[in-house]
Amino acid sequence: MAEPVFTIRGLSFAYGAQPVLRGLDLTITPGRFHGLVGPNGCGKTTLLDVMTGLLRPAAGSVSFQGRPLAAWRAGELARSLSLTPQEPGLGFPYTVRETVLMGRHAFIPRFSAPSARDEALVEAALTRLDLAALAHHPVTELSGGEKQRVLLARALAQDAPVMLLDEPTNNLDVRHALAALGELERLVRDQGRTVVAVLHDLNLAAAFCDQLILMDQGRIAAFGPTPEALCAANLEAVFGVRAAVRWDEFAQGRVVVFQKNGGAA
Amino acid sequence: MHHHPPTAAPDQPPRRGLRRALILGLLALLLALVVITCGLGYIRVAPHQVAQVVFGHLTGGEAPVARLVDQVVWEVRLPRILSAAAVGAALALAGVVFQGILLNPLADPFTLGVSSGAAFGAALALWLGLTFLGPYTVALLAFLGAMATLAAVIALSAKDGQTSPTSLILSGVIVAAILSAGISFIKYLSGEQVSVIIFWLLGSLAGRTWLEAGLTGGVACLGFLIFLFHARDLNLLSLGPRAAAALGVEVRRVRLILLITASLVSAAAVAVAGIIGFVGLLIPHLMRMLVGPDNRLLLPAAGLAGAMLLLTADTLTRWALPHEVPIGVLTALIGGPFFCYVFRRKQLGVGRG
Repeated sequence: MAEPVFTIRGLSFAYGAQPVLRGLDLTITPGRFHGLVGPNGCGKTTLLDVMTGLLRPAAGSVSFQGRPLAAWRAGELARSLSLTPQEPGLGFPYTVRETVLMGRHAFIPRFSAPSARDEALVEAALTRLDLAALAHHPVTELSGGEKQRVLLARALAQDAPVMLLDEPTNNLDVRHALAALGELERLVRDQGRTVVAVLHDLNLAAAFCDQLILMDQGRIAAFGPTPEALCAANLEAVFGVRAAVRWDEFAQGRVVVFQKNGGAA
Repeated sequence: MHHHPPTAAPDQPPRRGLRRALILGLLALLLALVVITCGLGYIRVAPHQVAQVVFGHLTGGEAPVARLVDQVVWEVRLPRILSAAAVGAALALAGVVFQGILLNPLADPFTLGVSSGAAFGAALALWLGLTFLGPYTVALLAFLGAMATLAAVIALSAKDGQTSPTSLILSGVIVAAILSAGISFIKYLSGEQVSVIIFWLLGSLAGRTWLEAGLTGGVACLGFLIFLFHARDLNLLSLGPRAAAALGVEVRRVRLILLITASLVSAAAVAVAGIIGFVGLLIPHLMRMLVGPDNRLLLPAAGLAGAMLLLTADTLTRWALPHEVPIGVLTALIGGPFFCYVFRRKQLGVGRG
């Protein structure tokens, strides 16, 4: 089996006195599409922040591609690992194209112009996310869904072998959500990339992820191939809702349905 | 995938050649303005005579003009004019950088309380009558006050060695509030000296020397080089620390370097000229509307425009107005309403889109 992309052991993190991650263990293997699901506040975003090195763990170890994360320089890490954050952070009127080009920052030497390859990756990302017509618009004037597509295009342009995404389908209509996840699926299947995506829509997770990580209260509650991990018992344990997981002929896949009021009749 | 036919898009970003032309154009305009304003005043001097005086001093030769003209241009006007340009450039540059790192287009060099710190230092020196450095004592204490304030603000806002834009702004507001109470108390205690303190706080460039022009200009130039070196990192910092870090910016280090340099640059400006508001807010905003937010272009454009604006304002107080109006008052009186107009137009424009 290939060397793991991430090896996380005994990871703990707290904001002040409030523990968020409690002795979490996780091993991410390459070439898979991982869905990270769990209730609000269970520590998903904090976990991603520790995995990118933005937050330093209080205890435990994180290594990326066999090296402790702390030993990676920011620029070096950005060439191997990308993060699509949840908040757009697009408060200054850069154009869509300029913003997507920022994904190439770690590849362009200081005071150099972008290379032909940088330009080509930016153009491809703009086309794939249906942004070509908006390329010269200021990002401050876009809708929420358009901003989200700009963030995704920036991650595509960054072209990292490992991609972390925090709610990548936020604000996207169903067509663009399917297209965006389809794009990630294609990168995993055709190019062997590794994706870890926080998703709230369990049906999208069921359709696209081959591995599912269920998180609860700062720990991994269940982790395995989606057909096994996505089951009624796990969903009730983690989310406290009554759900059923079925094969659906039309979707050609598993679908999750819920009972109102958590099933309490 | 089909491609659109190539059209001459009007909103294409400026190409490199165009950028260079714009910066060179602004630079030429500034030089012309320096020569013209040097000739304005009680004694009129023609532009070519100004050029002769400057050329004479630079080459060590004798300028073919009257001794009085030579003295007025070289020893009185030029140091003041260059001080004004340096202070204007410094404030505009610091404004660009503060707006970028604080993720707030309405931040300015004084948002973090740097001006209150400088004012407190200056008020202290004037009240106690400190003169250990001669006429430069007030400037030195203003500078020290500004830097001490910055250190206090960073210490107050840091958590686990990290600072966030919001906690920096809040800490700045708190420290500035305490300092302005301190300044009021000094004014109250200082009796007859109070008018001197008030006059200093209003800002002035009258009687500035070559030393002051050189110091502020030097600090502004050094700051400009440091800013320009980090201009692309500053672009990415505007996406927020999380995105910037993931795109390869050493966020903690770059933010600290820029924060300290920008405070140093604004402190040098305040130390020489007193509190001059609105330049650091208005110019970055205006230039961002003209040339876009890319700091590689915005920094030189804002620096040059800031120099021109303050030079023009100082010439107005010195030459055009019947009484010398404190320059801080003039920039606020003109800049404030103008900024309201720009801001309102922008608000309405965005509302339509």
